[in-house]
Amino acid sequence: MVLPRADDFTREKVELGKRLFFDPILSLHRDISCASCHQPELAFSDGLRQAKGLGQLDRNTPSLINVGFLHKGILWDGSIPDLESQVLHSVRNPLEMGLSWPAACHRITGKKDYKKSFRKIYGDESLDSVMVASVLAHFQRTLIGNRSRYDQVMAGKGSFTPAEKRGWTIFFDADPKLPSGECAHCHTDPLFTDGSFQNNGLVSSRDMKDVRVDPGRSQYTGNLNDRFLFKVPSLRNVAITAPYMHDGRMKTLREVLLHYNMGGNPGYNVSPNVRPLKFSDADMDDLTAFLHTLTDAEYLKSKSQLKWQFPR
Amino acid sequence: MARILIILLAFVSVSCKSDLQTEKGVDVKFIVKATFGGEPLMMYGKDYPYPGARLRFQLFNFYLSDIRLRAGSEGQGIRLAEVALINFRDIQTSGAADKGFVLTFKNVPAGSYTGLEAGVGVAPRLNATGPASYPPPHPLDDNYWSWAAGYVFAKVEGNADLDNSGKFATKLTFHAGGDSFYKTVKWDRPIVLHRDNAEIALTLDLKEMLWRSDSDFIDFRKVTIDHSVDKQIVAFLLDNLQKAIQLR
Repeated sequence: MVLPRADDFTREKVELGKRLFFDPILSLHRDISCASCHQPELAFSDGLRQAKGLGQLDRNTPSLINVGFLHKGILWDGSIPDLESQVLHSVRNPLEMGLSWPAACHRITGKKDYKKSFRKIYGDESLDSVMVASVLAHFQRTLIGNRSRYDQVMAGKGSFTPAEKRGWTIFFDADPKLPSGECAHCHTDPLFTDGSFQNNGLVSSRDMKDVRVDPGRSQYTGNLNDRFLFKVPSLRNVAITAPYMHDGRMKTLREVLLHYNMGGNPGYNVSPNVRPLKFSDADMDDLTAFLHTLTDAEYLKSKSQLKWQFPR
Repeated sequence: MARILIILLAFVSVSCKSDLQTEKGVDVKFIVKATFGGEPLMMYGKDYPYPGARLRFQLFNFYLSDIRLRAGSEGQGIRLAEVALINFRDIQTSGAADKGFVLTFKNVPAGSYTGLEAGVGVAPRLNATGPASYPPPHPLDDNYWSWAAGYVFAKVEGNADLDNSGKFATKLTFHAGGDSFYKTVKWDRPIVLHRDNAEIALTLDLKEMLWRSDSDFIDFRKVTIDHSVDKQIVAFLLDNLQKAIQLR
């Protein structure tokens, strides 16, 4: 996990970050918290096609499970380097929480319990945005998904059903006699993402010329070879984080599998791993069964029941 | 621009200082340049002729393990890095190709060395681990393939134009790995590192990994994908790669 060097990881910071995460105090109208879009019972996603804060955003809300392990950039285009920066961005973004940081700090210091908690951690220093971002980032780093059925099976404490096992085999291209899913090139275990950015063939040749189409990572890097590249999302909890893709265009896992089975749209920078797969309905059923084993039920609980884990 | 990966565990170990004319440590630039058929290798931007096809590449990377400057007798010298991922993914322009992929090894004792050695691939002791063993960023964050042979030692991905249509519609994915294909390569050539010039340069031609002769090559009209299932292909690719890497 990526941990800030000069910032000791403490229980106090995590607990304070957790309180702030669920508190709408950081939004302009005091009606949106981090948890409005990152709901525990949806593996810290929101179930919407595209995120909605104070305004309408154009990308799907990513799950926060295991977000502390991502080190190649956060968000779909990797434009945010770390969790602290992401907090700083989201609070002041007029489409998300829309609150200036001076106003946010003023609000927090106006609440005795928050003031006391920050003082306990940081002493008599004046509260600033970096401290708030730090505690919120600390909490998010405790959202570790490693208690799924898949994890139990890998630890030798359980077993797959025949359908799940066959789905696992297809997912990891583990048997030449079965179709190769080509999934694990990018959705590498144990995180089920390699954190890379890929063009997975969503954009048709007609849409490539449409300036309204989200250009993805190239908007951030300025590199035309990065057009339509988006971060490979983790598949942990994928069964409860619909809809799918960077713009939430696919409602079901079946739609996703059909897209990959077709091989995606052509394009000069489409990943060569996205190619026609020749899945049968039974293959897709079994893959879906396997993907359901990646659900960590711990995160289906309400915030009061939520148990966080110290990162190692 | 080539991205410099931080090599954890790249601390320098000196096994026999007496054989070295050691000065203070220097930062060594470790440069790897690639070509294809003699032309600078660039991802996306360039087409390359190949028997029965034209090729474009999107990804070429490979691991080197136990990179070691040699000095004196067998087993002596300096270990520069435990493992490094040599990655040409971001080499996308002629300028970047000219610079090559660059790593920097810190605080290496200056002096004279008799050569270099490295394992091509991931050393078996490392290949038995996984990404969870390493705090990121780390070279072994990438290319992991849990169920199979551990890490993918080398990846070549791209597209082929097999019908001269200019569409490059055929997708190519070759991922090679496996402990039995790991091999240490030694290059005997004097290397002198001093404060004004501390560079080690390797070169390779990617075509030599795919093609030995017009009667012995990976024919993309017949095979477009292999994930180390066909051991003949894996052996062909990794053996060729080991031979293709040259010390300049």
